[in-house]
Amino acid sequence: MTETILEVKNLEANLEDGDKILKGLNLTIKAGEVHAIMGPNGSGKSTLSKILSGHPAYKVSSGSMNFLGRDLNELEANERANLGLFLAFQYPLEIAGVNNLEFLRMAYNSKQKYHGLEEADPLDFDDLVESKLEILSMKNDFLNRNLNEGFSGGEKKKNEILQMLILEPKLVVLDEIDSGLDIDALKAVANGINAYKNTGNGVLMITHYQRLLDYVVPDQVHVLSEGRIVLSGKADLALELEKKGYDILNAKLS
Amino acid sequence: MPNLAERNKNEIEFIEQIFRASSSMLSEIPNIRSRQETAIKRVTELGFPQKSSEDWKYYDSQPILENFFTLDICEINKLDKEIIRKHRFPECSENLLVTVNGHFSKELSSTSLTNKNISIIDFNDPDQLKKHPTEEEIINQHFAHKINQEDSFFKACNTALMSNGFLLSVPDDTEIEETIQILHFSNESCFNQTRSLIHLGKNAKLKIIVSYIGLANSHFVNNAVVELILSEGAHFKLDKIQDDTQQGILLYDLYARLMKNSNFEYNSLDLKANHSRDNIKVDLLEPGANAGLAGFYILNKDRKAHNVIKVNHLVPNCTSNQLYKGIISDSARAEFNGEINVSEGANGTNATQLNKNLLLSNTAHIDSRPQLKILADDVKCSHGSTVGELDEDEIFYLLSRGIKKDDALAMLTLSFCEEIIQKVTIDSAKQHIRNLTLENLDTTIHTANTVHKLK
Repeated sequence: MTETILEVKNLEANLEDGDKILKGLNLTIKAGEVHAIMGPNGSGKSTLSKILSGHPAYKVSSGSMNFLGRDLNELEANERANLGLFLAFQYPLEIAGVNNLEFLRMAYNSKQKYHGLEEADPLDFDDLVESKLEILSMKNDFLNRNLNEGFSGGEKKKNEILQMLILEPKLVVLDEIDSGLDIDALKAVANGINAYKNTGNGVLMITHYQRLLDYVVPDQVHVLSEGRIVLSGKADLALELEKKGYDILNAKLS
Repeated sequence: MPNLAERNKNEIEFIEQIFRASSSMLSEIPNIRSRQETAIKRVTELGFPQKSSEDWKYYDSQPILENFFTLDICEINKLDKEIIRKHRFPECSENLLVTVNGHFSKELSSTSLTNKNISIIDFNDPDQLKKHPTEEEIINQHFAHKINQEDSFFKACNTALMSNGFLLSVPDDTEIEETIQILHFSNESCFNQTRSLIHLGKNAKLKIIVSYIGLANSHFVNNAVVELILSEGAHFKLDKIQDDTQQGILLYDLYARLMKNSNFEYNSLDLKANHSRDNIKVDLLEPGANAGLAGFYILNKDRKAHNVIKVNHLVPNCTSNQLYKGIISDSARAEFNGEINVSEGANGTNATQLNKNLLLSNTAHIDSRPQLKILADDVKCSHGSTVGELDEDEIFYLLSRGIKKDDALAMLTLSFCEEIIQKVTIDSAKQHIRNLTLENLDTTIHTANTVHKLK
């Protein structure tokens, strides 16, 4: 039987002291699967990504999130990451004074330490990073800059994918990884995702557009609306949405 | 709290003590002596600084009055060479000046500098001055400049009480490549008068890194005064580190005068001062002069740091920048009181001022007052100040990469101050600064953790 990576059941969540954003969300991702979530603005897509990865501003009021047999609600954000959950940010943060390469090594070694494995020394780590840079057609000088500081939109997104490739998570949540990318950057990012995915891990892409799905073909497409998944289908659902817009929801659901 | 009468009594006694001590401190050199006599007059005229004055509003001078410091001259104590070795930066091993309790120590300083076209002279030593007429002229011109109008009480005290000090003078068109390190030690509970005069000739270039260090648990007050003159086209960079001062109080008075197209860069790093007050005054006296002032303070426990800064744009087309950043935790207090004064007619002025603070506990305190006083028409000035906590989204970003919360907080705090640390000339000094910052953070992070109730 295929391993279940993520199982979300009847999830309800809100911003601290705020209105309910997720209102009974169900989602199951199995090993080897690529899922895409689409949906109108304000439907709760980004919230879902932040709740899964443990952002402290959000509170789960009911339902469950199970990741590789562990209750995510019981785990700190850094533990979730070390267990293999990776969120690629829609807006990666610029952190002045933190060297990109050192940051990557620190993140990598955090995971190694968490699993009782040997930490990588700088030289070995350099080799690992260089092999991943090629996949994304990134230049070496990226590494010596400060973390995302002064990066263009495309460079920031590539840097997220680079982190993903180095940390080798079990599940990646890509929050609008395709926004603000030109064609070349989109291809590089898609290359990275395709290099990452295998039969043992899962991908959850949150997107507004079909164009990313041309390069990374999803097994399932879901439509999130008002805090719930209201429609699921195969890859062709995204094409239909692109053509007709979210008006089809009214037709299909009524 | 002492009552007012008690305080006034202490203030009067403080001034009387200075008055009495000053007679034995008068220099043999007529030009210095006459200024010392004027200075003691100014001390009595000005009186002990009062809270009613804007510049002293937030400063608690009670500890200065309370721990009644001996005004006896603290002789240079034997200082363990090991201590000097510990504090010297390897890059400056050949270029070291040392003072102990305000006394310039030729024995502990390195002498190789004098071969390099730079004069280092004890300006209260008549024999030395006789041998160096050019330097004597510089001292006559610039030492205790306009002392009859001096408005700083502690600077007047320093002038009246200083027993020696050094002149550092670089001739015209001379570039000193090596960075000079100056170590100011205090190891006795007394009122130290540290004094220096720095003069750069036309197009001269010099970099200095200065540390103030307190040894043992002495309740000293180090009353340091630096006078600085940059001639046309000169470049001067001064990194000042307030290292571990233990129980001491540091008063630091810097007065810089900048001539045509000269450039002054000042970086103040207050890392472990118990109680410090910087009084920085920069006069931009000729067009094209530029001053860049930066500061970083990290305060925990009940430490205090005050930065009182005045940049005076007196002529057209000068530039100045002030960037001060602070991290304050526990029940520490900081003050940023910065002024940009643009005189009438000083058109083409370009001046900025920014003070950013991280408050990491509910009892930490900052008084931030960036001020602009503009009397000219055609100027470009900006100022601002921010007070905040660490950014929750930035913390989350690091956590989401598996980094532990304590490490994430330390990284972000260091990243906040790295902008200033990067400005320091010497690599080993940068590392030393980072280490001291992290040392402070150990307790700070704990406090920050309770502020950010990250579940």
